[in-house]
Amino acid sequence: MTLLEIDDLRVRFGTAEGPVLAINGLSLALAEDEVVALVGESGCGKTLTGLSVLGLEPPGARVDGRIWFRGQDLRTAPAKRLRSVRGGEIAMIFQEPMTSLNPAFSVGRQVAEALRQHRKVSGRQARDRVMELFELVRMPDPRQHLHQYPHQLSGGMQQRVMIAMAIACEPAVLIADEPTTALDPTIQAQILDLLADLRSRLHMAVLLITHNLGVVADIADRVVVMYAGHKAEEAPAGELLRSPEHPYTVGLLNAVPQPGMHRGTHPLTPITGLVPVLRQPPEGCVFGPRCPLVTEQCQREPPQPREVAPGHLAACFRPGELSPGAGGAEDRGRPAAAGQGPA
Amino acid sequence: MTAAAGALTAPHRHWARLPFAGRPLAQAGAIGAFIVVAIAVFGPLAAPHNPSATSFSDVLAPPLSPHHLLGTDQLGRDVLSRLLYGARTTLEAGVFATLLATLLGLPIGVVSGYFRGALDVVIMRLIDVTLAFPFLLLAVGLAAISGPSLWNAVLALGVAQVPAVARIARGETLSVRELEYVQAALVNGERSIAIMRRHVVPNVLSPVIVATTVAIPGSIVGAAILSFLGLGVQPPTADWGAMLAQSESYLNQSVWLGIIPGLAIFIAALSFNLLGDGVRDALDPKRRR
Amino acid sequence: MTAGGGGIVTADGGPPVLAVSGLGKGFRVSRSGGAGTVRAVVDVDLTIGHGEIVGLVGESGCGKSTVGRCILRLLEPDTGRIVLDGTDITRMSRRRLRPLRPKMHMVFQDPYSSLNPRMTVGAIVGVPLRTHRVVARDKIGGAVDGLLDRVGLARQLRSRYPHELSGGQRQRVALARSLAVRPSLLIADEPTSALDVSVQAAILNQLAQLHGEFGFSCLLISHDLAVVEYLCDRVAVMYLGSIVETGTREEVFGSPKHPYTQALLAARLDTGAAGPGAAAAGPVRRRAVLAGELPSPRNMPAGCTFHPRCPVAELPLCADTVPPDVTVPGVHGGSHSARCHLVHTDGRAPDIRVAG
Repeated sequence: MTLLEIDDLRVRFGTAEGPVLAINGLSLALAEDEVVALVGESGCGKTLTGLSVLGLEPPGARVDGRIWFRGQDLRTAPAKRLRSVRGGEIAMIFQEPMTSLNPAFSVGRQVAEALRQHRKVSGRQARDRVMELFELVRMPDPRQHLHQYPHQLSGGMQQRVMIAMAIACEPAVLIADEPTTALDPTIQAQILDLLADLRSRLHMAVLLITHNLGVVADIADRVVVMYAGHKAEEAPAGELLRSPEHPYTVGLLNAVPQPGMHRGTHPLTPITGLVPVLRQPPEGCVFGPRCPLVTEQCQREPPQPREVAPGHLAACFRPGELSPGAGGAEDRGRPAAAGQGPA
Repeated sequence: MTAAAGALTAPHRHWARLPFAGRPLAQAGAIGAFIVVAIAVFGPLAAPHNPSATSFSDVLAPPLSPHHLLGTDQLGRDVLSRLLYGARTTLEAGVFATLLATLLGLPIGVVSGYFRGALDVVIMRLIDVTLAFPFLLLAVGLAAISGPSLWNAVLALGVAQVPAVARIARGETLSVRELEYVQAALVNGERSIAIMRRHVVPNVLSPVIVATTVAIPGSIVGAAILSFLGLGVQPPTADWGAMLAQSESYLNQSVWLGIIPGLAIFIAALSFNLLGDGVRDALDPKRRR
Repeated sequence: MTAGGGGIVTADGGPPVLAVSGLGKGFRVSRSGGAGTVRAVVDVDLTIGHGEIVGLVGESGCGKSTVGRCILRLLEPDTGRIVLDGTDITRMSRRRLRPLRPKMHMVFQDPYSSLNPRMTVGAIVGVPLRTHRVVARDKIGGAVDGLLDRVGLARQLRSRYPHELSGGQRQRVALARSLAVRPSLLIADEPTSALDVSVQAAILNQLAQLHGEFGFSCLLISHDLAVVEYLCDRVAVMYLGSIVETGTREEVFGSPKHPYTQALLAARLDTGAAGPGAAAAGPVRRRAVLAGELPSPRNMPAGCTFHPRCPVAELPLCADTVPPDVTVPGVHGGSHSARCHLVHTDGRAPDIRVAG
């Protein structure tokens, strides 16, 4: 059952150097008990997407499109409804827990406050619930942690506190923006396990924003690949990783060293060029300039996401023609064109 | 296709002049400061009279008198001319004192912050001592030694402001020296002096310049105070502070005699203050990436 | 090639470029909870031969960056010896060290703060040339151009400032700066962690290529196992200030002996995409085998520092005694050793990835 549906989201900014088109027509849907990963590199608009769902886009941003949640378009909902949704029905956790937590208050108090924002509970009840939550997020010593301050906790613990705050009111949707990027590998593994567990326990829909395809492989059910504000590809996780259709996805997969690969014998194939900053809707495919398969058609009209297999969409005129591990883009670090240079 | 690689636009310079767009206070400050400087530079050319020319027949004339737009003082000297000439003296005192403070304070602060350890402790204690020492006492002392003059005033004021500049320079140095490009310089084997010159000072300069701009009004007012007390410029040299001081006895008869120089000092100090704020706001968020 | 440790012989038979033995470094901290000493590095031995790329792997707080900085004498080691190209530089004065500086250099993690924002790219790359008088003054411009070419940057970028470049371009500038004086040893501290995936690939390629051309030895400090496996010839795994396992890449990644190494490898997230040695079908699901958090470095566990979190720790042995460095036979033909009581000289070792 679809809980959240983003329909043709477009976000524009005015900057000192001119208008920036950050997201151009993104659509995706989230169902109950499902983890959808929104993948892309920095600047592709994935974080902005998460923020826009809750109406938290930065000031000066012009947002168009619809965000359907429980039969209502959040973009036109009254402020009161939006406030009740934020944290109460749709929760969000961020990459840097240290800056998301208030250093002046104990973590127990902060989680309790998050709870009382949306539920009428007494101080005692709130405290009990916080203890419950701390156990749910697998904190080793909830009683002690209740009174500790953020700086006294490690990164992994802080992230657990953030998660506790987020699930305090049992939200239907959890938006997790790079929740493990700042964590060490073994802690990252723990947190991902926790998120997967909570997802099935609370039947939440999870929108997982990340740039790490390994994270995707670990807990995502479906994946949406974003590039420069557009959807490049969408597919079930396993299928995307096994048989990617869009050249950008292939590029991303090729860029990560796999076990057994070694320098010299397996040069990595990076994607030449840099992520563009769009100022107006592109004439052709937004990935064209960097695509090894680019044709004249690609430069003339922007490809729309089309179904290339059941449940598998790709915004490309030549889907599936680039296979992972194959040659792909050349570039061993030599300057491409005068004045441009590689990434 | 849209412009790729936002990073590769045409090269632009750090020091492009910002007109403080959207910041009316800073713009007002810039304009005010500009006017004051212009007066200091060109004022004497426009002065209708000799600022020291006395005229006992025309004493304490009110503003808008014939020949005397702003009136005359107790010795019949034209107030407007004295104001225009006085701008130069006042501004000189203010600017040079601050310049001295910066030339001394910057290296002291950078050296102290870069080497740390015992050297830092000693320097900082000396700075504290200077801070505790009333600059008026220093001015009086200097006046006692070599007679009151503009340059003694500048010296006293400059020294009095060294601690403030040194502290800012030291604070910035402490954070800059932890940055990786300084570590890289150490790995390079660059000498300490070279590191301070190449890497620390250029990156510490912005906040120091801002502090400087904000210190100028302090110096202006300080110079006025010293003149007021008779420790700075001596008559008959025109100086706003001195004008203010001398007007005291005559306020009953001509309140303008006090208001005009007082207003001038106020406007000059305020202008530089606002300008300093504007410069700080313009430099800080822009510089951080 | 034999395992890490003093006085070894490397593949080419000559003395190693870098021989570190018994390195120790502690920091005094006073914080809420009283003052104490954090022993960031404890008795570390490390050897790097000519042209080798050695990876130093570990999570935050394990002391790997501290090791790098001690080697460069950015920090003063408390104990131990650092021998660079045959010269003991452990306690050398700054003055005597200066002419040796060109032998070792560093590339830092953060491409934003590792370049002086007030200097142009050309100036940044030119400074090492100037400082060490590598070329005549009038030849510096040409040398800088040459270096920019070698790191894959357009020559026009000489007059740009760092903030006008992308993260990947800045790292290339950092590489150019480091290689300007042809160091024997390059220490790369998380060189790609702050970069996007596709840019990472470009920089890794560049590093590999430059290594082939210049032939420097490299100490790669990283928490990213994928990068380490890709670039390194030998690997050392660190935990809470000590090296717990060392060996060739094939040995450590192929048959890890130390429980912590196994946990690290088990935590690795693979896309399972096409590649040699990848899983046959579908994404790889892994289990988090390591519970708990890193203990506070001020209260280091006694005996084996890993024992509180070790699923197979045997008390009281592991809690009482610091484990010895045990050399095991290499199943893939390389050197291999681990610091663990449960690892035997015949190669028997626990495997926590299958336990429970």
